Amino acid sequence: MSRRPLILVLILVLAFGLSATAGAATTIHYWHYLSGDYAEIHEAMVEEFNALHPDIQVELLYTGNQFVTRDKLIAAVAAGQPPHVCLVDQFWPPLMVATGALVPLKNFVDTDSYFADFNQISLDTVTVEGEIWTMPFSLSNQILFYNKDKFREVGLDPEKPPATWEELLEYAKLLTRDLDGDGRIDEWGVNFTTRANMGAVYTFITFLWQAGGRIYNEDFSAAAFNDEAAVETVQFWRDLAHRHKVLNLSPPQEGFETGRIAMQIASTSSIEATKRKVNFDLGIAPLPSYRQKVTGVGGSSLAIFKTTPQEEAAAWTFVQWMSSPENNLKWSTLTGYTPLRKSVLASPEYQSYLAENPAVQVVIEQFQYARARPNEVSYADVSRILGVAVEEAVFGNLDPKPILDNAVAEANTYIEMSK
Amino acid sequence: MRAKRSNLGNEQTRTALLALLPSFVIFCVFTLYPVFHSLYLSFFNVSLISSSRSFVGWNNYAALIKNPTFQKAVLNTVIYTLGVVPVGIMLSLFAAVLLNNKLKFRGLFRTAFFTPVVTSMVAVAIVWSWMLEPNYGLINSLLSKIGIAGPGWLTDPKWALPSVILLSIWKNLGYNMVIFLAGLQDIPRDIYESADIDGATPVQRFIYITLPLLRGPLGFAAIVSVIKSMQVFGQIYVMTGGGPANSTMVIVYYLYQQAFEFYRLGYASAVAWVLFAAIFVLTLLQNRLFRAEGA
Repeated sequence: MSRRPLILVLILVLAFGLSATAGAATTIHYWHYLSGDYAEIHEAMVEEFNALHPDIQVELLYTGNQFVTRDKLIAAVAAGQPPHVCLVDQFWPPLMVATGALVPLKNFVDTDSYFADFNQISLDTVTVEGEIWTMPFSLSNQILFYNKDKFREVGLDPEKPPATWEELLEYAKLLTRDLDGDGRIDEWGVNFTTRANMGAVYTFITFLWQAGGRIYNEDFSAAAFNDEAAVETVQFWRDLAHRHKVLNLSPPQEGFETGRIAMQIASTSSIEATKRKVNFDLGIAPLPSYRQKVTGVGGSSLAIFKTTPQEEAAAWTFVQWMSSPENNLKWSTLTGYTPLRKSVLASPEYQSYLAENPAVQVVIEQFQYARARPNEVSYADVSRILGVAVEEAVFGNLDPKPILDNAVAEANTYIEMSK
Repeated sequence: MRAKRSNLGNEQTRTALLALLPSFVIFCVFTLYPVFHSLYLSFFNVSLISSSRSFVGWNNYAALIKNPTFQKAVLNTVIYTLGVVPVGIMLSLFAAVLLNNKLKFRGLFRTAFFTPVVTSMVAVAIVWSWMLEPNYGLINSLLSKIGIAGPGWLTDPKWALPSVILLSIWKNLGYNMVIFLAGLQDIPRDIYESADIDGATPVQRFIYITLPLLRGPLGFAAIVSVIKSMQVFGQIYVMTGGGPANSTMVIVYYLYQQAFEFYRLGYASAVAWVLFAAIFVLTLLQNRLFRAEGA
């Protein structure tokens, strides 16, 4: 008899509790690594999503730069506590797929029809073993920044940036100068990342592709970066540094921004930041090319991690919204990143944005020959080995052929292991 | 009386054990267990990112010995150790003998030599990276004043490892110096006085008195320096990242890269145990060397 009220109370509490749960918003933890101006634009988008979706609450968490975020994400995945959604860099998807913690997007939607509006290159970056794993979010590629003032000083036409490797070398020779006559070079013609541990491979493979070379063979069963084209590419870098001395292997920090380097290969994602830093007439051009026109692709996508069906569904709603036509248009025009969707690229709003920003026009034109890095599980190892080999030949001023042969042999052991 | 004493001893022992328990538990959880777990892992193909693991026996060790990057790391570690230890010990012994004399500003000099030892390695490595910077750096600016075009200290594969060796010698100089100073002050003055009466030169005094009587501190310094050098990591991580072209790739950096960039925990554990075995054998050998004649 005395028990009965207690049970009644319990039932009441439970009933209230359950109804409260049903009414509460699903919380989505979202990790990202964006900073600066982009972060504010990005944050505003997330806030807008939250305002429009009362049943989903996205909690945005800045987890440090790319490298720090990757470490935290791996630790979280290993501990079985990943966030619901994480912004991932372009070359992480194979690694993330290997963890088994990702939800493939085919679980939510028929990917063929859903992604029909997305351009092929954005899908290439998120496809691993034939399946789409993450939602493309931003897309960049490599371009040539140049200092128009320096071009004028040495008598080059500032409106005619170098279009070929040959012109790149020729211009760089003119732009490399010893200004005070002390026998030491004060200004260098060209610069790009040459250190393996700072991502030189990203630049190198673009040169390699331009020369007609490749990293893997046709069926990705072995490494193939020791053919004639690869040797020629390494030799070109080696000559820039040692024979012509137009590329400084220990470049001054922020050398381009401070006017000590006249041309620099970098990502389109640094256009806005570079514009703010320089006080000279900045030129932006497509990459100089060789046998083929190619540029490398960078960017990021949104990964959904395995949680509960309800949370996964909420996460899917969120990532769809982030790359919806309206938001992709907004993101592209506010940041300079390339549109992911064909419909956005063709929209009158985006076309008028291009008309106002001729520099971005360059990026878009170049996009038709952009190429994504291979999404192979062995790519992390293979690219490290390739990077170190290039470094060895270029920094050691050595014959590239035997070094590349050895590197291919070493890379093959990792490719075999990954199969 | 005897019984009472042992009782007291027991009680004291119990209290001591109780007091030691917390730190012992922490030691077990965070040191002892990981050490043996890493030995266990070294026989598995285990990745940080996937839950599957498979027993591979000695395969990790076999792959390791054959791996060209690991071979390079071993070679670089040996060169580094040979570069840092003998030169470092000679210099610090020299500094200790000098500063054992009554000099003006002796305290100031001793402090100056010891300051790098207590400074954080990361801070020191960043400062040195700037001094060694080829375009604006202090060292190349000074060299250019006397007409020498300095190399890219940390970006030229020929100079990168020597540059790191230089930093390490400088950083550790004070530590060995303090040990030698303590050793020097233990040598009785009357031995030197009788040598003076016999007409010994300063060089003879150093060779026949100072060196033999410093055998203990010398042995200690050598053993500790070799262990520290074999485990070099911080300055490599900050200054060169193992590059360029693996010219500063050392064993612990290789281990770090395999474990935390490529997530191969089993393989990295094998690296750790090979390094441990090498250091263990080296320490035994040195111990014997410095004890044999001294005893």
